[in-house]
Amino acid sequence: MSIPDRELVRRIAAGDQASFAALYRDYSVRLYRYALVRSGSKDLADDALQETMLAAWRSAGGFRGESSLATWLFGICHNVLSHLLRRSREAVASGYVLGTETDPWPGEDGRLDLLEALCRLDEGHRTAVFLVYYQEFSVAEAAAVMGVPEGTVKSRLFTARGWLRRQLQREEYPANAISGER
Amino acid sequence: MRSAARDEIRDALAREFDRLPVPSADVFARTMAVYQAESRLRAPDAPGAGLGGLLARGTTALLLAVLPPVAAETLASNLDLRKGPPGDRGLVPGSVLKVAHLFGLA
Repeated sequence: MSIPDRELVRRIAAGDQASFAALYRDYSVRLYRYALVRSGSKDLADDALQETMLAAWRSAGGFRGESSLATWLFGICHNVLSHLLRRSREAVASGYVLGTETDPWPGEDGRLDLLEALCRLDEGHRTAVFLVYYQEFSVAEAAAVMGVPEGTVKSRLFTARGWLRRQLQREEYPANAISGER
Repeated sequence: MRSAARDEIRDALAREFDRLPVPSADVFARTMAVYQAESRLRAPDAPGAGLGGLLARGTTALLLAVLPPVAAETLASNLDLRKGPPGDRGLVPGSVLKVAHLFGLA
């Protein structure tokens, strides 16, 4: 049986290393992929994951359970990554996907067309798409993570969907990639 | 846009996000190293002097010396360590002597 969120965080705040490791195990992939999609940099994603987990540990005593643990962690990750991006002055656009760096995406043909199209969107749109469509956050939760009004998230999703659709049609993206056929 | 079309894009994106890389074991090792070092120094019974304190500070100094710059800076900042002059990141991998000096070990 899994430990309730509040109890897990309480144990972490009390210094239980096993609980901290469990938190890492449960959320590291989601947080890492979030940082990767938002920054386009594996190095920044590495640092963001590490700093997010440590920041969560340091502030665990302040977690009241008013939001879900996932929303709380992604909010921390969002702020950590904003700080790292400002400090590193790296371009947000994904150089990896656009071919300026070694491709980290393990696609069968060496690239993922849909992700490539997504990474042509700006950071705010990419982030909204990832949180709502992949992490299955509600619009309200995504807005809380990103620190923007719900209407902004809705607007970004609408714009992103239309943009992706146009891009993929223009590039004659394989029909089965969108229709869901295997 | 029709909801069916929206769902198709959502599903296609989810399939591709599932194929993104996962963090390396090295990130976990770094995270736990910082966690353990900070935990030791924050413990109520952490020795501040004597051989125990010296060993604790020495362990942290060595840890800082081998951590990547971002992690080392973060740990140093959290421990209220003095940083180097502007333009110098202060704590960089391999700068054992500099870090040891900060801890009064050299």
